[in-house]
Amino acid sequence: MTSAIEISGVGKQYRRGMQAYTYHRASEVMTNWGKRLIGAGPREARAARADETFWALKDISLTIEQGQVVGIIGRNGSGKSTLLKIISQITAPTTGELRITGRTGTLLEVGTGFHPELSGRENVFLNGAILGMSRQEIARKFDEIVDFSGIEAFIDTPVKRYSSGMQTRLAFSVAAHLDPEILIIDEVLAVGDAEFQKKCLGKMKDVTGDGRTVVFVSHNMNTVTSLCNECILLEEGQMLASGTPDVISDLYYSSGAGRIGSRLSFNSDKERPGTDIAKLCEARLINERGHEASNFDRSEKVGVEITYEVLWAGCSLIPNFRVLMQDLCIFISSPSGGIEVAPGLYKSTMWIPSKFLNSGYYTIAVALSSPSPVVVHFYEGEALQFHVTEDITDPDRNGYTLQIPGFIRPVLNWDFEKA
Amino acid sequence: MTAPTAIKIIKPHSERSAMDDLREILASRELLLVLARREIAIRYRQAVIGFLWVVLQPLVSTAIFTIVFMVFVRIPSDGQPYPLFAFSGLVVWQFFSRIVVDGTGSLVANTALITKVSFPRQIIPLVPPLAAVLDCLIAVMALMVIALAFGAHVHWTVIFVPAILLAVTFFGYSIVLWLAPLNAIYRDIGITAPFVMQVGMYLSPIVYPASLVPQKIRWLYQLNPVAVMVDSMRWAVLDSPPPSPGGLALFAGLSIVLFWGGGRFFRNVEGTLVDRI
Repeated sequence: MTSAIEISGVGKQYRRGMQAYTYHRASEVMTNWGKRLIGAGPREARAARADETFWALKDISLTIEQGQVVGIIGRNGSGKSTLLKIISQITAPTTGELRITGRTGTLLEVGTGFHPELSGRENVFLNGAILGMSRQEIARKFDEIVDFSGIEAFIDTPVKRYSSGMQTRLAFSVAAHLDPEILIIDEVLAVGDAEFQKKCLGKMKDVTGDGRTVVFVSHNMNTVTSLCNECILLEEGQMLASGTPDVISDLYYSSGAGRIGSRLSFNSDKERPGTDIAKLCEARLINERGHEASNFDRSEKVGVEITYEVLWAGCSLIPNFRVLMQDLCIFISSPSGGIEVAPGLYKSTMWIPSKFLNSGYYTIAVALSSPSPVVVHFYEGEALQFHVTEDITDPDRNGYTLQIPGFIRPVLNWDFEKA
Repeated sequence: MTAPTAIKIIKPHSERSAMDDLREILASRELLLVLARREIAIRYRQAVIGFLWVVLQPLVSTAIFTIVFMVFVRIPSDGQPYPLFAFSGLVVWQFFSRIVVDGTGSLVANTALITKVSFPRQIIPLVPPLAAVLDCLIAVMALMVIALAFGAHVHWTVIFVPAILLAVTFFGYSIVLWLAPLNAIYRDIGITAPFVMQVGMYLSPIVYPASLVPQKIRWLYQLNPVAVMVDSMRWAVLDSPPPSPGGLALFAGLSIVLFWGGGRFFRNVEGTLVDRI
């Protein structure tokens, strides 16, 4: 087996505050200008301002074999998109070298180059060419593409008259028929309605099944697990680990990369999210004894407490929480009936019952909204994180000691009788 | 999976040569044509008279200059009917101006493309000339019709028009190789370009003849590359005197130097352009 992509010592340095660069240093710009024009000096100039630069990627070395389906996973800002952009030759690395064997196709978004004035048909050809397909190739696959998108009836209508869902479907259909030796994909699956997503996932599995090399970036561990046979975990620009999706998934959600936070608070009033009506002060996870905690046993209740300041009284307020696992919302909870109160500090607490969540790593999003008119006063998507662990000798498990699948695992009543 | 596998090595700094550049442009000609077709298709879409605008635009400009310079100022036009004289100049000028102004803004205008897909970036500034050349050729045909209407006869040298347009494209592209990346980093360039072009137009014998320029500095005036382009077009279509040999030589030399340096500059910055655009 030969390697499709060999990455050795690749790093990428970025400059902070691009605007400051152009404005504050007009004189420096002038003096460096000459040097830069003839090719000398960009690196020297950069080194001189090391304090204003940071490494988005540092010393990445890895080899991707032909036919491998590799998932790159990491939190926002871990450098995964940067790595993808370097592999797909959109931006050059600052250090290191890449060796790529084979024709690459990049899908960093769907519908790149789509023009609203052009018809669906024209856009298929345009988008196909931009993605690197030849005219013949597109013509050959045209019917298949249109068929896959399910919008035959509108193919000669300008795309600006399409709904956003239709645009996405058409764009993804073109992308799905891209046929390179190495396919580089950035979470484009996070589009479209559920049914179309399923169709796309199926198509992706076809693509990944036929010996093509695929590099796939996502922060959705589920998709990575279902598609990839090799996984790379990035954290703060560095490669933390590589291995099978199961191993990396555990690592991602249990230790290291998975952030644990039992409290969300703000240093100053200015930072507190909210509107003129209400602002968030603090969000906490508490256990039955009222102590702040981030590790819970399955037999314990999990308390989500949110403190907010009401600044204006004439508005019905509904605090609500979202419980998420691996970026999927498991459930939303809000009290029945809005709260209409005088200005002041208030605290709302929700209790997730014991023996309800499965063991695992969960994220809580907190929000406060008003029903009419609909106003979201604040929404903090990754406010709190916690773990639920369990004793594997628990009688609920009936002696089963392996991981039990599922997000929630309520204890339900079973009727038992002789039939 | 059709093309034979090729090994590509990516390093922090591009090690391509000018020849590699040209080879890459050739290899991605399909994409270039598709992008040009997009430009053309959207330019006159949802316009009631559509493609008629192609002819109408230089005609309207010509009419304006004709009124200004024949009715109000009264200037000579080197033995040609003034509208013919002005139109022939404007046809080349508008072509060149579009190459430079649109080309300068082309990388920024295609930010969505270059931040998402990898393809030879040097084809982006080539799209405006390709999109403009159709307009220009239609305008040249209109020019010939007008020439015949004015009783002038169209000379056989008209077959050189494509070659002239090619030379103008090459010169314009060479300039844009510098300006487009610079504009991506410092937007001042794109904002300034239209004004500079306007000044350039009045510094060149487009709407008035070179004979109005004092004899003493006329040699210098005729070295102006724009004057060379305009004189060439008038020579080809209207059989007026050809551009000065000095001007032609300078035009050719300047084109080559700008192209060579511009190519180097472009290759140098394109790797990190995406981060700075």
